[in-house]
Amino acid sequence: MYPKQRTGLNEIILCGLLEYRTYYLKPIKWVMKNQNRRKHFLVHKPFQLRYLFYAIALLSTVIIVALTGTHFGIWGSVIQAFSPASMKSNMITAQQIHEYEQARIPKPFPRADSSLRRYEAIELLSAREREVINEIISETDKKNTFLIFLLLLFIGWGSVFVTHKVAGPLFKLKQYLNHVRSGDLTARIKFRKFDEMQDLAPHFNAMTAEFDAAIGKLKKMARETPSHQLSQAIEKELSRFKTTGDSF
Amino acid sequence: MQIQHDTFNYFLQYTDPHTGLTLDSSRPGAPASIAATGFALASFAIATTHGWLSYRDAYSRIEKTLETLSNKEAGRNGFFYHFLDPKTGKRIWNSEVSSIDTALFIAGALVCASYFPETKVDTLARKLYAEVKWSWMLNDAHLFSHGWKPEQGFLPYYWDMYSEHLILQALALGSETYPVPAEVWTAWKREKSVYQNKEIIYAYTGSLFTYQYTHAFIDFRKLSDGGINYFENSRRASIANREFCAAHSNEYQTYQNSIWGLSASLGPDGYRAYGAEPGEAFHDGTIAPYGAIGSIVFTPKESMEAIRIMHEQHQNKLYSTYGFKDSFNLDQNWWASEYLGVDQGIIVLMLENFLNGGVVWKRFMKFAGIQRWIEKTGLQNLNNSKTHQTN
Repeated sequence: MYPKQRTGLNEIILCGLLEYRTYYLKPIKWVMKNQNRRKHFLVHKPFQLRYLFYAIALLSTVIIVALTGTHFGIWGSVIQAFSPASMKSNMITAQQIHEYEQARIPKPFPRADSSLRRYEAIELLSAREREVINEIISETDKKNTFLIFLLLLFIGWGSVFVTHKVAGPLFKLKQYLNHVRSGDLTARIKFRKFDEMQDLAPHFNAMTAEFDAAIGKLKKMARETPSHQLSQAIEKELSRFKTTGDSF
Repeated sequence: MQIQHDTFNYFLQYTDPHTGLTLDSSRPGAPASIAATGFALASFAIATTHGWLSYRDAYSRIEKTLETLSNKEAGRNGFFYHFLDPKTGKRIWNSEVSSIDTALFIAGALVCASYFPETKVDTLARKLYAEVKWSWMLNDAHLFSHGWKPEQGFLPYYWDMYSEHLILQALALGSETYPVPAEVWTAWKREKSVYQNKEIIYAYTGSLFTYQYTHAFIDFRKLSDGGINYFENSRRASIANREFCAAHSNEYQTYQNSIWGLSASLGPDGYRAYGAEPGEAFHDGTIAPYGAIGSIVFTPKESMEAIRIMHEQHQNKLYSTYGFKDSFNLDQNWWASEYLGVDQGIIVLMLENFLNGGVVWKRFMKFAGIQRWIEKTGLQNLNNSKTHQTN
């Protein structure tokens, strides 16, 4: 919506630009957007599925380790700490510690009667339970920190290993293309056994071999063909190559 | 000697190998006790002279303990929590920073320092002693508080009359770094009472251990506190305890046949501060063997007799791997199944003093801190002056 009261050249230009954007640019953008839209998600099924598997395997490992650590760290310790034997032992200790305290209270201070003693012992036991829970959480945190560190190492190593399967061939391809660009047509590319893009290598090598043979042939012509026939022979040989300069 | 060795084995068995903290009792799930740990330290040092533990093993155990307790989480202002987690060395059971238990630990550590002079153990023990801010525990008064809790501050109980706190007094007054004023020594009451024609400066419970703990370290035989000789006082209290048991032997079968030793221990109804007159004298027929054994330096004949009879008559139920169990009550046919660390400790140390010419006393009395305490409080050497205590 435009402002209702607009006057002057600036406003007119602004309105013109907005109209231009609305009526001309928008459809162009929409067309380009649709052109870039992915129609097929699995363009290289084996490759993409393999990486899907790697990602799932890595995430599953992290989740399993985290869940196992939490289960045995927290719940395992809780179950152990609050087992009947442990609870019984804690109750006796609470009672005994309370009795130690009572035994030390000097004469002028009346000692608690039995019901109050029981209450105080329970209070002590409850404090101990809080201590136990805090200890478990603190211990689990320590263990989890160590586990996370191990997992980070594992994820780091895994990432380097997995990305190397792609980065390795790309690096080799770059080296290979540099050789070719510098004029070394004897260069050939060879990927490792488990590298990705294995199927590209034969195509590249076939292409280089083709150029190698063609240039080799031209070189041979230059050496062996008499000079008055050389130009015609070269032209014939080059005619099978389609180049961007052909129109000139 | 065999009793001392068996009793010592408790400390080998119930001291955590990683933290060096000793359990309060042999019962599963028991926390570590700082006082029991102090007794364990002294016992490890003693054990080296008997060949029960190699020098290297004892040294490494003691060093581990001292290192654990150098951790700030174990206490406050140099004092330690009464109970610690034996695995981590952290406060446990909501326990208090305890004045008396810290003193007993420091005493044990200083005994070790004398057995391993000019070593890391010596340095650590002296460092721990030097770090205790004794005056903090006075809470702006002249009496030591029993302790302090982070949740409630100082406990409302004070060491205001004779008891085991003399070791706390000696260490605090003799401290070079954080000494307490000389008035602290005179602030607590020396309440007297007469039992069987003997005047005794008594502890409120009448428990034997109150007359023993400090005496495991300090040789009071030749010291006079304005006419009071605390060694003689403990001897009288031990005799009184024996006579009290004899006087009640018609009521309680346990006290028959010259068996005595009323002291704080486990009993049929739990841990109780059992004792004799003078004092509160709460008793129900429960005898703690450590009571008579811990008094052996004061009453050799009477203690030996009680030990022999208890061993002969009740060996099967009362004596096991770690010596005499904590207590028994024939009237209720009740026998303790546990050993308590501090009760084991007093047996080992007192037997050491008794059997080996007061070797712990000799070592402990040489400490500059102890000499400072004697000087500061005006305690007199009985070699130079006469005791005024009367019968």
